[in-house]
Amino acid sequence: MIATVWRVAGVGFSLLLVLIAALLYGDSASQHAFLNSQIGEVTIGFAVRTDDLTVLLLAVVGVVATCVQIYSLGYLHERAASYHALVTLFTAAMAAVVVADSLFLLLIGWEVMGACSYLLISHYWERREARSGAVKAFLMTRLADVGFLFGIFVLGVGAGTFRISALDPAQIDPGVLTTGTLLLLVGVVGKSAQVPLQTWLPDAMPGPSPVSALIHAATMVAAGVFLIARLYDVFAASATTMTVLAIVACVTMLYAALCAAAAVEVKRVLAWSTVSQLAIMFAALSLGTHEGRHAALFHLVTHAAFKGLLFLCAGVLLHQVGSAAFVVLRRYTRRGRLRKALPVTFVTMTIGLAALAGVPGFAGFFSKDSVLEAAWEHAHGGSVVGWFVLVSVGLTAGLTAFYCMRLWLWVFFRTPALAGAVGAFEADDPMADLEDPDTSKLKDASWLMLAPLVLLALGAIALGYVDGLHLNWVVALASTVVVIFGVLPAYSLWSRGADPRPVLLEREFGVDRAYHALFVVPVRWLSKLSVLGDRDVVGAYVRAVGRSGALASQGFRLLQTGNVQTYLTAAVVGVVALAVLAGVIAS
Amino acid sequence: MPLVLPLLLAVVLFCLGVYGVLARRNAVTILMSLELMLNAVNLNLIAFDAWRLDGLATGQTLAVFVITLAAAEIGLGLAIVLLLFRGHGHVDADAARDLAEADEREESPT
Repeated sequence: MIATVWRVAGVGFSLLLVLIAALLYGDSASQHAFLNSQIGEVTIGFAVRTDDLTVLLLAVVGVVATCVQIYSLGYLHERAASYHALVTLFTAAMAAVVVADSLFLLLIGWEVMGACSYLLISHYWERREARSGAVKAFLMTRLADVGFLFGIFVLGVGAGTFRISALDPAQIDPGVLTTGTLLLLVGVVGKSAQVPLQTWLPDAMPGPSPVSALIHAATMVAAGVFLIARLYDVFAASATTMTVLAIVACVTMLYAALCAAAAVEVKRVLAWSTVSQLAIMFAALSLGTHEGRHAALFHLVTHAAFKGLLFLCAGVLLHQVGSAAFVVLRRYTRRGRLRKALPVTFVTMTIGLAALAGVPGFAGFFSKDSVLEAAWEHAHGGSVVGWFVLVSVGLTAGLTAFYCMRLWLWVFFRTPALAGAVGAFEADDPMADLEDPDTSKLKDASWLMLAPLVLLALGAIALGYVDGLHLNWVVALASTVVVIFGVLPAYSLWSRGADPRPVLLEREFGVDRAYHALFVVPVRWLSKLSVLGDRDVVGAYVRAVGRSGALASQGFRLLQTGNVQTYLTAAVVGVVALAVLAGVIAS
Repeated sequence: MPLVLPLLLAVVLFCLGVYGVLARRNAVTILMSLELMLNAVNLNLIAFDAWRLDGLATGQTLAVFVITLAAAEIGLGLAIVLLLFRGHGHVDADAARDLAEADEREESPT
């Protein structure tokens, strides 16, 4: 217990330190290198730096991690020690990524995060889906990390330095630059769960909710956005990479939003929405303009607040109700109990969903607007990518509003049209013939869990105004209209008690199934083959050695008669034979 | 007296001893044969001592040692034979096969 408090206090203290340091020294860039070693012609070493980006990300990471740690005290009771230690390590790894000025230090933090996410997702390792989700996350991010590693090599060798601050795109050969940034992009795509490596993030949901909040809001997936923002000059110098990034981001945001619209579990909806929102950040980055980068980082910060909030809210649902599946929540909601039993959670989750949907006045609205604005300006400059991004983000905004409204209505409001029935989710209700749950004991979580919710809810509103209000009224109006167009169908479907989920969307376009057939099945065959080779080919020789030894010893056993005189006779014969032999040799 | 005569006698004695140890079944006879071999060696020692005359009489000294050793050894040997007799009711070296690898059939009753 003391150790846990100590760890929580440690994270909070480091947050305080960052804020004080930011206040004292401002955000002027400074760097410090250490442990340099000369290998051939290149210098490999560690270096840290602070600048505006570092301070911003450290503050975000610190706030979210502190909230998550405090929340976890109330949320988690089994294996808490290892859990808190891993969360702290996770946070530290993200901090290492953020402050790194050496590509290798960045890589270390990047990899430690991968390992921590694996361990934390499989926190409930007795559950099968938690184990397989963790393995999936690990394998997919590792696959991407191979690209990341080679990207570092290509860029570092091409530029002659592994210091981020010394990377000058003008001095790198354009071909090398494109190759390097594309390889780095592979790592980013894996870490931030973009198409085609998006499937691990929704499957990571069996992990504890606070961990999901941490992964989705501050660490891990945000690292991808951070990396591109950090190496923005280098990325922007390669038009090919930026185009690829734009295509990946636009496909991902629409795909993920569509998947979220058909998911039937709160956390899965939120996971897909994270993928979609990250894609919006990448789309803003892919514009290649300063405004784009600014908008992406703005969206990253507001997203950290409201997505952290939403995941912690989902955690409250899991903790108090026992499940975050729509069908289970509907069993409480259809009598109108859930909202009244969990008032704080209801209010904060409403704020979070409003921010995610981009309702005017909430943080998500302003940050999404700045993305749209940047795309708008870029599109006016005659850029195809700009138009592409603009249209995709607009469509995604509508879809986001749709699934937020759907989630909000179905989880918290009883449907008059259904007259108390579970409704559209009955088909997958595992407890359909059971009695209604006893809702009288349902109450809101402890204040230890609710305090972070309130704090983040305040952030989800207030963070929208910190950037200064500079709205482009046309864009703002258009995005509001889009949000309304997204909200209305969700409302009308809900009021009729219908939730049509196309099979294609429910199966998430069959990507998982295709990956299974394309990669998992052949790998299984290969592993079966190698097991056969090991057991029946290599193992056969090993076993044959043992068996021949046993056979030989069976022959020698016959000599052990137990008769002392036989042994002595053998000894005498042997001595005589040796003597004769010695004589023959001597002569 | 030429050296070869006592040496021949010693060879005969030793071979008798070897034969006794290897071929006789009575444990006491085997012990006696052992003594025969030891004494053949003693004879060798004395004969070579008389032949070399090194003034220190090392051969004779060693022979006295061997006799002492033989006395101790026969005590030990007889004790073993006695135990063998007590345990098995006979002193037949052929029948005392406790050191043989036990077949599973024979092992189970004990």
